[in-house]
Amino acid sequence: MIEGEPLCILLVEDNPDHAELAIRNLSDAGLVNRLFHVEDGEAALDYLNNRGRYADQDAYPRPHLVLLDLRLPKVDGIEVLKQVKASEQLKSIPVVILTTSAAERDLAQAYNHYANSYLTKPVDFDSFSSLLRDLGFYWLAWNRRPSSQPR
Amino acid sequence: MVTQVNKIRRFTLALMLFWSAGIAFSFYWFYRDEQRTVVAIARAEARATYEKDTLYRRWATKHGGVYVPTSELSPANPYLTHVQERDVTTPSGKALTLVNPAYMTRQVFELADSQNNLVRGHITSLNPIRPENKPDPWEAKALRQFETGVKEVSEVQEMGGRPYMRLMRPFVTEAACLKCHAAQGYRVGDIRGGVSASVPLEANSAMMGEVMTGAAVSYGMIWLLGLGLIGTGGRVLSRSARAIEEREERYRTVADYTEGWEYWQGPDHSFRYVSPSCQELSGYSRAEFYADPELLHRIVHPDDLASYERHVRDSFCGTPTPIDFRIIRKDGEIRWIAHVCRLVYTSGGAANGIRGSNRDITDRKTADQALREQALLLEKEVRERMEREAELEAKNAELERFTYTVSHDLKSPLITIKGFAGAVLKDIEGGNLQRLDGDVRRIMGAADKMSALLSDLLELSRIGRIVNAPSLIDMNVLANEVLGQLSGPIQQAGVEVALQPGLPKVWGDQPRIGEVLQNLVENAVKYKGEQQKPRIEIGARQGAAGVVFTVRDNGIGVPAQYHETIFGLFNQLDARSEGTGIGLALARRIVEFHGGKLWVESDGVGQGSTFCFTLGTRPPEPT
Repeated sequence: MIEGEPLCILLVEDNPDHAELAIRNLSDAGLVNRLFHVEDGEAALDYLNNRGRYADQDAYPRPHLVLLDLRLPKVDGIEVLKQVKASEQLKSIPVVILTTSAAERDLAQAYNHYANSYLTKPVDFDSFSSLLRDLGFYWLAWNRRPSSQPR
Repeated sequence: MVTQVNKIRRFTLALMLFWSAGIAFSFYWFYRDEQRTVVAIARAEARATYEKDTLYRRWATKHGGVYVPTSELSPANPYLTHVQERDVTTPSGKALTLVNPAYMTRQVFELADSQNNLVRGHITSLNPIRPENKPDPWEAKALRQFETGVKEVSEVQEMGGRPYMRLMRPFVTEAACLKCHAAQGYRVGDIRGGVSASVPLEANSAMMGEVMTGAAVSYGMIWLLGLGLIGTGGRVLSRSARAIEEREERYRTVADYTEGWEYWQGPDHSFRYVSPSCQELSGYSRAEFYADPELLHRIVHPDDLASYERHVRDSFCGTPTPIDFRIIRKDGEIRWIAHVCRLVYTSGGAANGIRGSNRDITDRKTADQALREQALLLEKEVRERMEREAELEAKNAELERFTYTVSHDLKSPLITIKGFAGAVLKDIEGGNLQRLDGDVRRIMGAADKMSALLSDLLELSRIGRIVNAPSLIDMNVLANEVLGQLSGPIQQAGVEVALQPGLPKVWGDQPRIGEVLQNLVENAVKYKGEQQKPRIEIGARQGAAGVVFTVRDNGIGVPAQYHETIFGLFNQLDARSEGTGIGLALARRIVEFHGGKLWVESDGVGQGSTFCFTLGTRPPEPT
């Protein structure tokens, strides 16, 4: 788009309704070229590491942004964040926490593990829409990334 | 101890009296001796006088008397008229008269009498020719004694106010006597009179007086010297006795007025000294300890006797160490004693037993005991409090986790509802109605989910709050009941169920244990996966901590990393599976309330799972 490069987001969200809401809002803003949705932490790690069913690097490209829920089945969000930030290959990917939890403990834990941003899902629909729109604009339009990223 | 000085004083006085009596007696003896000597001398003098008189007389008698010129001095003897030739005349005409022995003797005696201090003689008879010659009373008595055969009579007699030694001997008739006395019927050998001699004692007495004066001075000096020596000796003794007494008083005061029970045991273990305070501590007097060296051993408490005897042995060997032990007093009371001792030596350096000190520490021991008990009590209280705190902390943590989970999980459907409601409104505004149906369904689904969550929460909160009385549960019966309730879903899923017969009976809250079984069976049915012949086995096995009940399935299995996650509240491994994810959390909570454990054993995906639980419930206490 702005840089003529297809923008790719990985959405890690176990609640299908919330995922639908997020996808719909991001799509409506017209910011996203490709959005991949996985439902648990294990799948997220598999995707990022191109393991298992996500082995195909072209079909499942490295995302420019990860939207990560904290409360996930199997491997939870903090564990995913920890592994992403511990990996030389993955740590440069911005990870934005998008969760229902406003608990101080989760916030602190997320930043301690190098989350790039922490957002609480607003209950109000309009707020939810504008949050996701702003989020997309900020990270995908305004934010500058190094041009060639290792894969 | 003042008696020692008094004793010395009394002894000194007695010695003085004895000395004085001795001196007095000796002086008296001397005096008597002197007196006897005077008498003896006087007697000897009298005897000598008598002998001489007798000799002269005998001479005169032998000559049949002698003729002397007749004169006034020597008139013719009127008592010799019967004698022829009483008066003769010498051829020259000189008149002579016969002086017989008696007459001569009388004249000599009269001559002696005329001079003082001369021995006086006297011739006498109970039957005198001449009446003047009759005896005085003493002589008469002596003469009568002669008739009974006495040869001599002597006595000190007072005559004319002067003391005399008087001696008298019998006068035996001789042949020559008959010249004058034949007429009286005298025969030769008859005792017809006596001659007495009186020696004045005054001269001798005067001499004796001088001797006695000298003796009295000497005796007096010796007496005084003796008294002085005795007195001085007594004083010296008294002084040293007093010094000893004072020293003894000092040591006695130090030793006898001790708070503790002090003593000294000789090398033979007998008591050489015991302070009177022993009575306060032990109830026994020190006399009893002196009398019985084993007494202390015998009053030591039997439980402490071994260590006490070891201590005594060590002490006499030279390594005394302090020791606390109990004694049983005379009145039976038990007292605690702190004992210390040390070896003692004579001034010459020889071992001389031990010196011990016993102090009553019963109060301290009692206080210590009370303190120890209190400390134990306190410790117990602290432990209990810490346990309660830990329990409370665990509860708080659980509550926090619960609150967090609940707030997250309840908020989640709200977001869905509001989000899609907004989308629906927007779509309606924009006239875009294609997605309306799906969005409304999502809203309803979220509301249902919320309702389910709320009822699950209510159910969860009931555990531990609503408790049925524990009963002895027949697990086979209970499992059959549960399987009956679930027969619909089980048949629908085509699951085969096997129930092990003869399961152990356990105590517990029967309806809740039923819920555990129900949740585990439901879980097994729900996650049977793609299994062609799904099967569930309910059984039991013997574990380390008792019976372990098992619900085994051959379903999808649980990877090792999720063996704990699956028991989290509202946790589901698969976001798309039915239900809220409360079943296992609920089951675990019930089991934990029974003091048991619930866990899963599975070799991983496709390997099936075995859910195991124990129950720690004990039969209720009989009331």
